[in-house]
Amino acid sequence: MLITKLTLKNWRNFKRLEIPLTTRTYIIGANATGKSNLLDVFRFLRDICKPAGGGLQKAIEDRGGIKKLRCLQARSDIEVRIDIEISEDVGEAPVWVYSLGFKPEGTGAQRILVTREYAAHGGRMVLSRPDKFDRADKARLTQTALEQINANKDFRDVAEFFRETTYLHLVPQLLKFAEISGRIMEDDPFGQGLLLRISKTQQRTRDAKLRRIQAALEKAVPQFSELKFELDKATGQPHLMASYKHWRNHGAWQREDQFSDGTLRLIGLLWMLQESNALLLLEEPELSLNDAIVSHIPLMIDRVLRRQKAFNRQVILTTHSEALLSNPLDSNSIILLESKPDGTEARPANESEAKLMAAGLTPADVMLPKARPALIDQVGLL
Amino acid sequence: MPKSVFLVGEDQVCCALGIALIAYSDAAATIENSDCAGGFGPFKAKIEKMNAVAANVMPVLMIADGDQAPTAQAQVAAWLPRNVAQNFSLRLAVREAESWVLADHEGLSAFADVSRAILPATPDLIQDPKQALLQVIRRSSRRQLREEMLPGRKSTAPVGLGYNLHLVGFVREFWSVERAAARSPSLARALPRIAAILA
Repeated sequence: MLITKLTLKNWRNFKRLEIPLTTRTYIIGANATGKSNLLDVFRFLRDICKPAGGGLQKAIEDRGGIKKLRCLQARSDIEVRIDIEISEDVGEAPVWVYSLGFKPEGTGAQRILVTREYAAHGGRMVLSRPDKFDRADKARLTQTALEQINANKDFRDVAEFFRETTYLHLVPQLLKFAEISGRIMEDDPFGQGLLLRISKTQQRTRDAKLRRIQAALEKAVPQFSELKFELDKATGQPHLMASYKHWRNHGAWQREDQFSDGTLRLIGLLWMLQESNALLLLEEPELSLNDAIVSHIPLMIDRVLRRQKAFNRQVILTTHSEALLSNPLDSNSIILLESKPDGTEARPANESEAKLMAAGLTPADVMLPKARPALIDQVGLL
Repeated sequence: MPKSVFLVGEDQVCCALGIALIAYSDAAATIENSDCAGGFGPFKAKIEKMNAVAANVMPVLMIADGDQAPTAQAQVAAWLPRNVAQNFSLRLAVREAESWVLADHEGLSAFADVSRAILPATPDLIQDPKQALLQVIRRSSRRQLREEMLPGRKSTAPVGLGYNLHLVGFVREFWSVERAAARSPSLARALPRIAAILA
Protein backbone atom coordinates (compact mmCIF):
# COMPACT_ATOMS: atom_id res chain seq x y z
CA MET A 1 0.00 0.00 0.00
CA LEU A 2 1.13 3.53 -0.58
CA ILE A 3 -0.14 7.04 -0.05
CA THR A 4 -1.24 8.34 -3.42
CA LYS A 5 -2.71 11.67 -2.43
CA LEU A 6 -2.14 14.15 0.36
CA THR A 7 -4.32 17.16 1.04
CA LEU A 8 -3.53 19.62 3.80
CA LYS A 9 -5.10 22.69 5.26
CA ASN A 10 -3.28 25.05 7.62
CA TRP A 11 -0.46 22.58 8.27
CA ARG A 12 2.67 24.58 9.17
CA ASN A 13 3.86 26.37 6.00
CA PHE A 14 0.95 25.15 3.95
CA LYS A 15 -2.32 27.01 4.03
CA ARG A 16 -3.59 24.72 1.30
CA LEU A 17 -1.82 21.79 -0.28
CA GLU A 18 -2.92 19.02 -2.59
CA ILE A 19 -0.33 16.73 -4.12
CA PRO A 20 -0.20 13.32 -5.73
CA LEU A 21 2.45 10.89 -4.45
CA THR A 22 4.04 7.88 -6.14
CA THR A 23 6.39 5.12 -5.02
CA ARG A 24 9.30 7.57 -5.03
CA THR A 25 8.78 11.24 -4.31
CA TYR A 26 11.48 13.89 -4.37
CA ILE A 27 10.57 17.07 -2.53
CA ILE A 28 12.56 20.11 -3.60
CA GLY A 29 12.40 23.75 -2.59
CA ALA A 30 14.47 26.62 -1.24
CA ASN A 31 15.44 26.69 2.44
CA ALA A 32 12.54 27.23 4.84
CA THR A 33 9.86 26.46 2.27
CA GLY A 34 8.68 23.52 4.36
CA LYS A 35 10.30 20.37 3.00
CA SER A 36 10.77 18.88 6.46
CA ASN A 37 7.38 20.17 7.55
CA LEU A 38 5.83 18.24 4.73
CA LEU A 39 7.56 15.05 5.85
CA ASP A 40 6.40 15.86 9.36
CA VAL A 41 2.76 15.20 8.43
CA PHE A 42 3.56 11.51 8.09
CA ARG A 43 5.50 11.51 11.34
CA PHE A 44 2.57 13.28 13.00
CA LEU A 45 0.17 10.56 11.88
CA ARG A 46 2.62 7.96 13.08
CA ASP A 47 2.88 9.68 16.46
CA ILE A 48 -0.91 9.61 16.81
CA CYS A 49 -0.93 5.85 16.18
CA LYS A 50 1.96 4.93 18.46
CA PRO A 51 0.82 2.17 20.80
CA ALA A 52 2.89 3.52 23.70
CA GLY A 53 2.60 7.19 24.48
CA GLY A 54 0.90 8.18 21.27
CA GLY A 55 -2.29 10.05 20.62
CA LEU A 56 -3.38 13.32 19.10
CA GLN A 57 -2.76 15.51 22.15
CA LYS A 58 0.76 14.20 22.64
CA ALA A 59 1.60 14.52 18.96
CA ILE A 60 0.50 18.17 19.01
CA GLU A 61 2.26 18.90 22.29
CA ASP A 62 5.51 17.36 20.99
CA ARG A 63 5.42 19.90 18.20
CA GLY A 64 5.13 22.82 20.59
CA GLY A 65 1.34 23.07 20.60
CA ILE A 66 -1.22 23.99 18.01
CA LYS A 67 0.15 27.51 17.57
CA LYS A 68 3.46 26.21 16.29
CA LEU A 69 1.80 23.63 14.13
CA ARG A 70 -0.86 25.73 12.49
CA CYS A 71 -0.10 27.78 9.41
CA LEU A 72 0.71 31.42 10.22
CA GLN A 73 -1.47 32.47 7.34
CA ALA A 74 -4.54 30.79 8.83
CA ARG A 75 -6.83 33.66 9.81
CA SER A 76 -10.59 33.17 9.84
CA ASP A 77 -10.52 29.42 9.33
CA ILE A 78 -8.24 27.95 11.98
CA GLU A 79 -8.96 24.25 11.55
CA VAL A 80 -5.97 22.04 10.67
CA ARG A 81 -6.94 19.30 8.23
CA ILE A 82 -5.07 16.29 6.87
CA ASP A 83 -6.64 14.14 4.15
CA ILE A 84 -4.93 11.02 2.92
CA GLU A 85 -5.69 8.52 0.20
CA ILE A 86 -4.02 5.12 0.30
CA SER A 87 -4.00 2.81 -2.74
CA GLU A 88 -2.59 -0.60 -3.54
CA ASP A 89 -0.64 0.82 -6.47
CA VAL A 90 0.02 4.06 -8.30
CA GLY A 91 -2.88 5.09 -10.53
CA GLU A 92 -5.38 2.85 -8.77
CA ALA A 93 -8.50 3.99 -6.94
CA PRO A 94 -7.86 4.48 -3.21
CA VAL A 95 -8.47 1.50 -0.94
CA TRP A 96 -8.52 3.71 2.11
CA VAL A 97 -9.40 7.32 2.65
CA TYR A 98 -8.62 8.90 5.99
CA SER A 99 -9.29 12.45 7.01
CA LEU A 100 -8.56 14.27 10.26
CA GLY A 101 -9.43 17.84 11.25
CA PHE A 102 -8.84 19.54 14.59
CA LYS A 103 -8.74 22.96 16.21
CA PRO A 104 -8.72 24.58 19.64
CA GLU A 105 -11.99 24.64 21.50
CA GLY A 106 -12.25 28.43 21.37
CA THR A 107 -13.17 28.82 25.05
CA GLY A 108 -12.02 27.72 28.47
CA ALA A 109 -8.97 25.50 28.57
CA GLN A 110 -8.61 25.68 24.78
CA ARG A 111 -8.50 21.94 24.48
CA ILE A 112 -7.71 20.66 21.02
CA LEU A 113 -10.83 18.99 19.67
CA VAL A 114 -11.33 16.80 16.65
CA THR A 115 -13.57 18.67 14.23
CA ARG A 116 -13.79 15.86 11.72
CA GLU A 117 -12.56 12.33 11.47
CA TYR A 118 -13.53 10.21 8.53
CA ALA A 119 -12.45 6.87 7.15
CA ALA A 120 -13.64 4.93 4.12
CA HIS A 121 -12.68 1.54 2.77
CA GLY A 122 -13.17 0.90 -0.94
CA GLY A 123 -15.53 3.88 -1.16
CA ARG A 124 -17.63 2.73 1.80
CA MET A 125 -17.67 4.95 4.86
CA VAL A 126 -16.50 3.16 8.02
CA LEU A 127 -16.13 6.13 10.35
CA SER A 128 -17.56 9.60 10.47
CA ARG A 129 -17.16 11.90 13.41
CA PRO A 130 -18.38 13.86 15.27
CA ASP A 131 -21.23 11.37 15.84
CA LYS A 132 -24.07 11.48 18.36
CA PHE A 133 -21.86 10.15 21.17
CA ASP A 134 -19.32 12.90 20.55
CA ARG A 135 -22.05 15.49 20.63
CA ALA A 136 -23.26 14.10 23.94
CA ASP A 137 -19.76 13.98 25.46
CA LYS A 138 -17.38 16.60 24.12
CA ALA A 139 -14.37 15.13 25.92
CA ARG A 140 -14.43 12.26 23.43
CA LEU A 141 -13.30 14.72 20.79
CA THR A 142 -9.92 15.15 22.47
CA GLN A 143 -8.97 11.76 21.06
CA THR A 144 -8.99 10.40 17.57
CA ALA A 145 -10.57 7.06 16.76
CA LEU A 146 -7.32 6.31 14.94
CA GLU A 147 -5.37 6.10 18.20
CA GLN A 148 -7.86 3.82 19.96
CA ILE A 149 -7.85 0.09 19.43
CA ASN A 150 -11.57 -0.19 20.17
CA ALA A 151 -12.56 2.59 17.84
CA ASN A 152 -10.27 1.87 14.90
CA LYS A 153 -11.42 -1.73 14.48
CA ASP A 154 -12.86 -1.10 11.02
CA PHE A 155 -9.82 0.73 9.71
CA ARG A 156 -6.98 -0.70 11.74
CA ASP A 157 -4.96 -1.27 8.57
CA VAL A 158 -4.71 2.49 8.26
CA ALA A 159 -3.44 2.89 11.81
CA GLU A 160 -0.90 0.15 11.28
CA PHE A 161 0.19 1.67 8.00
CA PHE A 162 0.88 5.02 9.66
CA ARG A 163 2.57 3.43 12.66
CA GLU A 164 5.13 1.61 10.52
CA THR A 165 6.43 4.83 8.95
CA THR A 166 10.19 5.27 9.33
CA TYR A 167 12.04 8.57 9.26
CA LEU A 168 15.78 8.95 8.93
CA HIS A 169 17.98 11.98 9.19
CA LEU A 170 21.17 10.38 10.39
CA VAL A 171 23.47 12.79 12.19
CA PRO A 172 26.88 11.08 12.16
CA GLN A 173 28.23 13.13 15.08
CA LEU A 174 25.56 11.74 17.38
CA LEU A 175 26.77 8.24 16.62
CA LYS A 176 30.42 9.13 16.91
CA PHE A 177 30.21 11.17 20.09
CA ALA A 178 27.77 9.36 22.32
CA GLU A 179 28.46 11.90 25.06
CA ILE A 180 26.77 14.75 23.11
CA SER A 181 23.40 13.38 23.98
CA GLY A 182 22.85 10.36 26.16
CA ARG A 183 19.16 10.30 25.35
CA ILE A 184 17.88 8.70 22.17
CA MET A 185 14.66 10.36 21.07
CA GLU A 186 11.61 8.21 20.56
CA ASP A 187 11.69 6.58 17.12
CA ASP A 188 15.32 7.56 16.80
CA PRO A 189 14.97 10.10 13.99
CA PHE A 190 18.67 10.97 14.01
CA GLY A 191 20.00 7.45 13.76
CA GLN A 192 21.70 7.34 17.19
CA GLY A 193 20.12 3.99 17.83
CA LEU A 194 21.31 2.53 14.55
CA LEU A 195 23.73 0.19 16.26
CA LEU A 196 21.04 -0.96 18.64
CA ARG A 197 18.71 -1.65 15.73
CA ILE A 198 21.40 -3.65 14.01
CA SER A 199 22.13 -5.46 17.25
CA LYS A 200 18.49 -6.42 17.77
CA THR A 201 18.22 -8.00 14.34
CA GLN A 202 18.43 -11.76 14.15
CA GLN A 203 21.96 -12.83 13.33
CA ARG A 204 21.31 -14.43 9.94
CA THR A 205 19.22 -11.53 8.70
CA ARG A 206 21.77 -9.11 10.07
CA ASP A 207 24.66 -10.81 8.32
CA ALA A 208 22.78 -10.85 5.02
CA LYS A 209 21.94 -7.15 5.29
CA LEU A 210 25.47 -6.18 6.29
CA ARG A 211 26.83 -8.20 3.36
CA ARG A 212 24.72 -6.14 0.98
CA ILE A 213 25.85 -2.92 2.61
CA GLN A 214 29.44 -4.11 2.35
CA ALA A 215 29.01 -4.77 -1.36
CA ALA A 216 27.80 -1.21 -1.88
CA LEU A 217 30.52 0.32 0.29
CA GLU A 218 33.25 -1.58 -1.52
CA LYS A 219 32.33 0.38 -4.61
CA ALA A 220 31.62 3.72 -2.99
CA VAL A 221 34.38 4.04 -0.42
CA PRO A 222 38.00 3.79 -1.60
CA GLN A 223 40.08 1.08 0.14
CA PHE A 224 37.08 -0.21 2.01
CA SER A 225 37.12 -3.98 2.26
CA GLU A 226 34.96 -5.49 4.98
CA LEU A 227 32.14 -4.61 7.34
CA LYS A 228 31.22 -6.61 10.41
CA PHE A 229 29.17 -6.37 13.55
CA GLU A 230 30.70 -6.92 16.96
CA LEU A 231 29.71 -6.81 20.60
CA ASP A 232 32.35 -5.27 22.80
CA LYS A 233 33.59 -8.02 25.11
CA ALA A 234 34.03 -5.73 28.09
CA THR A 235 30.97 -3.46 27.89
CA GLY A 236 28.56 -5.48 25.76
CA GLN A 237 28.07 -2.43 23.53
CA PRO A 238 27.28 -3.14 19.87
CA HIS A 239 29.76 -1.83 17.30
CA LEU A 240 30.30 -1.81 13.59
CA MET A 241 33.79 -2.57 12.42
CA ALA A 242 35.17 -1.83 8.99
CA SER A 243 38.43 -2.95 7.56
CA TYR A 244 40.38 -0.90 5.07
CA LYS A 245 43.00 -2.19 2.69
CA HIS A 246 46.28 -1.20 4.10
CA TRP A 247 49.97 -1.83 3.79
CA ARG A 248 49.63 -4.33 6.60
CA ASN A 249 48.56 -7.78 5.48
CA HIS A 250 45.36 -7.83 7.45
CA GLY A 251 44.37 -4.25 6.83
CA ALA A 252 43.22 -1.95 9.58
CA TRP A 253 40.00 -2.35 11.55
CA GLN A 254 38.12 0.77 12.52
CA ARG A 255 35.13 1.28 14.76
CA GLU A 256 32.09 3.34 13.76
CA ASP A 257 33.39 6.37 15.68
CA GLN A 258 36.27 6.49 13.21
CA PHE A 259 34.13 6.08 10.09
CA SER A 260 33.75 9.09 7.86
CA ASP A 261 30.46 10.98 8.07
CA GLY A 262 29.60 9.89 4.56
CA THR A 263 30.29 6.22 5.27
CA LEU A 264 28.05 6.35 8.33
CA ARG A 265 25.22 8.05 6.47
CA LEU A 266 25.48 5.56 3.67
CA ILE A 267 25.36 2.65 6.11
CA GLY A 268 22.32 4.19 7.81
CA LEU A 269 20.54 4.71 4.52
CA LEU A 270 21.24 1.21 3.26
CA TRP A 271 20.21 -0.34 6.57
CA MET A 272 16.92 1.54 6.77
CA LEU A 273 16.08 0.65 3.18
CA GLN A 274 16.32 -2.99 4.14
CA GLU A 275 14.61 -2.77 7.49
CA SER A 276 10.91 -2.78 6.72
CA ASN A 277 8.52 -2.35 3.84
CA ALA A 278 6.64 0.63 5.19
CA LEU A 279 6.75 4.27 4.16
CA LEU A 280 10.31 5.61 4.44
CA LEU A 281 11.05 9.30 4.88
CA LEU A 282 14.58 10.44 4.10
CA GLU A 283 15.87 13.89 4.94
CA GLU A 284 18.50 15.07 2.45
CA PRO A 285 20.24 11.73 1.89
CA GLU A 286 22.96 13.54 -0.08
CA LEU A 287 24.58 15.12 2.99
CA SER A 288 28.30 14.37 3.47
CA LEU A 289 28.39 12.27 0.34
CA ASN A 290 30.45 12.78 -2.78
CA ASP A 291 28.40 13.84 -5.81
CA ALA A 292 29.43 10.71 -7.68
CA ILE A 293 27.72 8.61 -5.00
CA VAL A 294 24.77 10.97 -4.64
CA SER A 295 24.00 10.66 -8.34
CA HIS A 296 23.48 6.94 -7.79
CA ILE A 297 21.14 7.27 -4.78
CA PRO A 298 17.90 6.87 -6.79
CA LEU A 299 19.22 3.74 -8.52
CA MET A 300 20.64 2.45 -5.24
CA ILE A 301 17.21 2.78 -3.57
CA ASP A 302 15.62 0.89 -6.48
CA ARG A 303 18.23 -1.85 -6.40
CA VAL A 304 18.04 -2.47 -2.66
CA LEU A 305 14.25 -2.52 -2.69
CA ARG A 306 14.10 -4.73 -5.75
CA ARG A 307 16.39 -7.22 -4.05
CA GLN A 308 14.14 -7.06 -0.99
CA LYS A 309 11.19 -7.81 -3.26
CA ALA A 310 9.77 -4.54 -2.01
CA PHE A 311 10.11 -2.42 -5.11
CA ASN A 312 6.78 -0.74 -4.43
CA ARG A 313 7.85 0.45 -0.99
CA GLN A 314 7.12 4.14 -0.77
CA VAL A 315 10.08 6.46 -0.26
CA ILE A 316 9.67 10.20 0.16
CA LEU A 317 12.84 12.24 0.31
CA THR A 318 13.79 15.88 0.50
CA THR A 319 16.79 17.09 -1.43
CA HIS A 320 18.77 20.09 -2.67
CA SER A 321 21.15 17.99 -4.67
CA GLU A 322 21.77 18.70 -8.32
CA ALA A 323 23.62 15.39 -8.69
CA LEU A 324 20.67 13.45 -7.33
CA LEU A 325 18.21 15.29 -9.56
CA SER A 326 20.39 14.86 -12.66
CA ASN A 327 18.90 11.39 -13.02
CA PRO A 328 16.16 10.49 -15.49
CA LEU A 329 13.46 10.60 -12.80
CA ASP A 330 9.77 10.20 -13.46
CA SER A 331 8.35 13.73 -13.77
CA ASN A 332 5.43 12.68 -11.55
CA SER A 333 7.82 11.95 -8.72
CA ILE A 334 8.92 15.54 -8.15
CA ILE A 335 7.17 17.98 -5.87
CA LEU A 336 8.32 21.58 -6.00
CA LEU A 337 7.73 23.85 -3.00
CA GLU A 338 7.52 27.57 -3.70
CA SER A 339 7.19 30.19 -1.00
CA LYS A 340 4.29 32.60 -1.62
CA PRO A 341 2.84 35.41 0.50
CA ASP A 342 -0.07 33.14 1.42
CA GLY A 343 2.04 30.19 2.55
CA THR A 344 4.07 27.69 0.61
CA GLU A 345 2.60 26.23 -2.53
CA ALA A 346 3.45 22.70 -3.52
CA ARG A 347 3.02 21.34 -6.99
CA PRO A 348 4.17 18.52 -9.25
CA ALA A 349 5.73 19.30 -12.62
CA ASN A 350 3.35 21.14 -14.95
CA GLU A 351 2.65 20.07 -18.50
CA SER A 352 5.50 21.94 -20.16
CA GLU A 353 7.99 20.88 -17.47
CA ALA A 354 6.90 17.26 -17.90
CA LYS A 355 7.40 17.57 -21.67
CA LEU A 356 10.91 18.97 -21.18
CA MET A 357 11.82 16.04 -18.96
CA ALA A 358 10.27 13.49 -21.34
CA ALA A 359 12.49 15.04 -24.04
CA GLY A 360 15.56 14.11 -22.04
CA LEU A 361 16.23 17.09 -19.76
CA THR A 362 16.64 16.12 -16.11
CA PRO A 363 14.79 17.53 -13.09
CA ALA A 364 18.06 19.31 -12.25
CA ASP A 365 17.71 21.25 -15.52
CA VAL A 366 13.99 21.86 -15.37
CA MET A 367 12.79 21.91 -11.75
CA LEU A 368 15.79 22.74 -9.58
CA PRO A 369 16.31 26.29 -10.94
CA LYS A 370 12.78 27.06 -9.75
CA ALA A 371 13.70 26.01 -6.23
CA ARG A 372 16.32 28.75 -6.03
CA PRO A 373 15.34 31.62 -3.75
CA ALA A 374 14.49 34.65 -5.87
CA LEU A 375 16.93 37.05 -4.21
CA ILE A 376 19.83 34.68 -3.70
CA ASP A 377 22.06 36.47 -6.18
CA GLN A 378 22.13 39.44 -3.83
CA VAL A 379 23.43 37.46 -0.85
CA GLY A 380 26.95 38.28 -1.91
CA LEU A 381 26.14 41.98 -1.74
CA LEU A 382 25.50 42.00 2.01
CA MET B 1 57.20 10.65 -21.22
CA PRO B 2 53.66 9.86 -22.34
CA LYS B 3 51.69 12.77 -23.62
CA SER B 4 48.80 14.11 -21.51
CA VAL B 5 45.40 14.78 -22.97
CA PHE B 6 42.28 16.49 -21.66
CA LEU B 7 39.00 14.72 -22.39
CA VAL B 8 35.56 16.33 -22.19
CA GLY B 9 32.42 14.33 -22.84
CA GLU B 10 28.88 15.65 -23.06
CA ASP B 11 27.86 12.93 -20.61
CA GLN B 12 29.30 9.84 -18.92
CA VAL B 13 28.80 7.71 -22.02
CA CYS B 14 30.67 10.18 -24.24
CA CYS B 15 33.46 10.24 -21.65
CA ALA B 16 33.70 6.45 -21.66
CA LEU B 17 33.79 6.46 -25.47
CA GLY B 18 36.57 9.06 -25.37
CA ILE B 19 38.64 6.93 -23.01
CA ALA B 20 38.22 3.94 -25.35
CA LEU B 21 39.16 6.02 -28.40
CA ILE B 22 42.30 7.39 -26.77
CA ALA B 23 43.31 3.89 -25.69
CA TYR B 24 42.75 2.65 -29.26
CA SER B 25 44.86 5.41 -30.82
CA ASP B 26 47.92 3.54 -29.59
CA ALA B 27 49.63 6.79 -28.74
CA ALA B 28 51.26 6.62 -25.33
CA ALA B 29 48.87 9.20 -23.93
CA THR B 30 47.60 9.50 -20.39
CA ILE B 31 44.30 11.16 -19.70
CA GLU B 32 45.27 13.99 -17.43
CA ASN B 33 41.73 15.00 -16.83
CA SER B 34 38.35 13.88 -17.96
CA ASP B 35 35.20 15.80 -17.43
CA CYS B 36 31.55 14.95 -17.96
CA ALA B 37 29.98 18.26 -18.87
CA GLY B 38 26.42 17.30 -17.92
CA GLY B 39 24.46 17.98 -21.10
CA PHE B 40 25.11 19.94 -24.27
CA GLY B 41 24.68 23.35 -22.62
CA PRO B 42 27.63 23.14 -20.22
CA PHE B 43 29.53 21.22 -22.90
CA LYS B 44 29.12 23.97 -25.45
CA ALA B 45 30.06 26.59 -22.88
CA LYS B 46 33.39 24.82 -22.35
CA ILE B 47 34.45 24.76 -26.01
CA GLU B 48 36.09 28.18 -26.02
CA LYS B 49 38.07 27.48 -22.82
CA MET B 50 39.13 24.05 -24.02
CA ASN B 51 40.40 25.53 -27.26
CA ALA B 52 42.66 27.77 -25.19
CA VAL B 53 43.83 24.73 -23.23
CA ALA B 54 44.62 22.98 -26.52
CA ALA B 55 46.57 26.00 -27.78
CA ASN B 56 48.62 26.43 -24.61
CA VAL B 57 48.65 23.36 -22.41
CA MET B 58 47.76 19.96 -23.81
CA PRO B 59 45.73 18.30 -26.56
CA VAL B 60 41.98 18.31 -26.02
CA LEU B 61 39.41 15.80 -27.18
CA MET B 62 35.76 16.77 -26.86
CA ILE B 63 32.97 14.32 -27.62
CA ALA B 64 29.26 15.07 -27.87
CA ASP B 65 26.05 13.93 -29.51
CA GLY B 66 25.45 15.40 -32.96
CA ASP B 67 21.74 15.84 -32.47
CA GLN B 68 21.57 19.59 -31.93
CA ALA B 69 21.54 20.57 -35.63
CA PRO B 70 20.15 19.00 -38.84
CA THR B 71 23.57 17.54 -39.63
CA ALA B 72 26.65 16.96 -37.52
CA GLN B 73 28.71 19.09 -39.93
CA ALA B 74 26.37 22.04 -39.41
CA GLN B 75 26.62 21.59 -35.65
CA VAL B 76 30.43 21.47 -35.68
CA ALA B 77 30.51 24.58 -37.83
CA ALA B 78 28.25 26.40 -35.38
CA TRP B 79 30.12 25.24 -32.30
CA LEU B 80 33.77 25.54 -33.29
CA PRO B 81 35.61 28.61 -32.08
CA ARG B 82 37.17 31.04 -34.57
CA ASN B 83 40.80 30.02 -34.29
CA VAL B 84 40.82 26.30 -33.80
CA ALA B 85 44.01 25.18 -32.10
CA GLN B 86 46.11 22.51 -33.75
CA ASN B 87 45.66 20.16 -30.83
CA PHE B 88 41.92 20.62 -30.46
CA SER B 89 39.45 18.02 -31.64
CA LEU B 90 35.69 18.19 -31.33
CA ARG B 91 34.02 14.96 -32.42
CA LEU B 92 30.32 14.43 -32.74
CA ALA B 93 28.67 11.04 -32.92
CA VAL B 94 26.11 10.97 -35.72
CA ARG B 95 23.49 11.36 -34.30
CA GLU B 96 24.06 10.32 -30.70
CA ALA B 97 26.69 8.38 -28.77
CA GLU B 98 24.27 5.48 -28.97
CA SER B 99 24.95 5.25 -32.73
CA TRP B 100 28.57 4.36 -32.00
CA VAL B 101 27.39 1.90 -29.35
CA LEU B 102 25.00 0.22 -31.79
CA ALA B 103 27.76 -0.05 -34.38
CA ASP B 104 29.59 -2.83 -32.54
CA HIS B 105 27.27 -5.74 -33.23
CA GLU B 106 29.46 -8.40 -31.72
CA GLY B 107 30.03 -6.53 -28.47
CA LEU B 108 26.44 -5.41 -28.05
CA SER B 109 25.00 -8.84 -28.73
CA ALA B 110 27.36 -10.31 -26.13
CA PHE B 111 26.53 -7.58 -23.60
CA ALA B 112 22.75 -7.64 -23.95
CA ASP B 113 22.54 -11.30 -24.88
CA VAL B 114 20.52 -10.61 -28.02
CA SER B 115 20.73 -11.91 -31.56
CA ARG B 116 22.92 -9.88 -33.92
CA ALA B 117 20.13 -10.07 -36.48
CA ILE B 118 18.07 -7.46 -34.61
CA LEU B 119 20.84 -4.84 -34.59
CA PRO B 120 20.66 -2.02 -37.16
CA ALA B 121 23.02 -2.37 -40.15
CA THR B 122 23.74 1.34 -40.58
CA PRO B 123 23.51 2.99 -37.15
CA ASP B 124 24.66 6.42 -38.44
CA LEU B 125 21.48 6.68 -40.49
CA ILE B 126 19.07 6.06 -37.62
CA GLN B 127 17.15 9.18 -36.61
CA ASP B 128 16.70 8.21 -32.96
CA PRO B 129 19.50 5.88 -31.91
CA LYS B 130 18.53 6.05 -28.25
CA GLN B 131 15.12 4.56 -29.01
CA ALA B 132 16.77 1.97 -31.25
CA LEU B 133 19.07 0.96 -28.42
CA LEU B 134 16.16 0.79 -25.98
CA GLN B 135 14.38 -1.52 -28.43
CA VAL B 136 17.40 -3.79 -28.40
CA ILE B 137 17.50 -3.77 -24.59
CA ARG B 138 13.79 -4.58 -24.45
CA ARG B 139 14.64 -7.89 -26.11
CA SER B 140 17.63 -8.57 -23.87
CA SER B 141 17.53 -11.72 -21.81
CA ARG B 142 19.49 -9.97 -19.04
CA ARG B 143 16.83 -9.00 -16.58
CA GLN B 144 18.85 -6.36 -14.78
CA LEU B 145 19.39 -4.47 -18.03
CA ARG B 146 15.67 -4.47 -18.76
CA GLU B 147 14.84 -3.38 -15.22
CA GLU B 148 17.39 -0.60 -14.96
CA MET B 149 17.94 0.70 -18.50
CA LEU B 150 14.32 0.89 -19.60
CA PRO B 151 12.01 3.49 -18.08
CA GLY B 152 9.72 2.10 -15.35
CA ARG B 153 6.22 0.90 -16.07
CA LYS B 154 4.53 4.18 -15.23
CA SER B 155 7.49 6.50 -15.51
CA THR B 156 7.53 9.46 -17.89
CA ALA B 157 11.34 9.45 -18.05
CA PRO B 158 12.85 8.56 -21.44
CA VAL B 159 15.27 6.03 -19.96
CA GLY B 160 15.72 4.05 -16.75
CA LEU B 161 17.82 5.13 -13.77
CA GLY B 162 20.66 2.74 -14.63
CA TYR B 163 20.81 3.61 -18.34
CA ASN B 164 24.09 5.54 -18.26
CA LEU B 165 25.68 3.25 -15.72
CA HIS B 166 25.13 0.13 -17.82
CA LEU B 167 26.07 1.87 -21.04
CA VAL B 168 29.35 3.03 -19.54
CA GLY B 169 29.94 -0.55 -18.37
CA PHE B 170 29.30 -1.78 -21.89
CA VAL B 171 31.75 0.68 -23.44
CA ARG B 172 34.41 -0.25 -20.90
CA GLU B 173 34.09 -4.00 -21.14
CA PHE B 174 32.56 -4.98 -24.46
CA TRP B 175 32.87 -2.19 -26.99
CA SER B 176 35.50 -2.50 -29.69
CA VAL B 177 36.54 0.66 -31.54
CA GLU B 178 37.65 -1.36 -34.52
CA ARG B 179 34.41 -3.28 -34.98
CA ALA B 180 32.30 -0.16 -34.41
CA ALA B 181 34.32 1.94 -36.86
CA ALA B 182 33.71 -0.62 -39.59
CA ARG B 183 29.99 0.10 -39.35
CA SER B 184 29.96 3.78 -38.42
CA PRO B 185 31.54 6.22 -40.91
CA SER B 186 31.36 9.08 -38.37
CA LEU B 187 33.46 7.04 -35.94
CA ALA B 188 35.86 5.98 -38.70
CA ARG B 189 36.38 9.66 -39.57
CA ALA B 190 37.12 10.48 -35.93
CA LEU B 191 39.96 7.98 -35.54
CA PRO B 192 42.69 9.58 -37.71
CA ARG B 193 41.94 13.00 -36.24
CA ILE B 194 42.31 11.72 -32.69
CA ALA B 195 45.55 9.96 -33.63
CA ALA B 196 46.77 13.26 -35.11
CA ILE B 197 46.27 15.36 -31.96
CA LEU B 198 47.99 12.71 -29.86
CA ALA B 199 50.95 12.22 -32.20
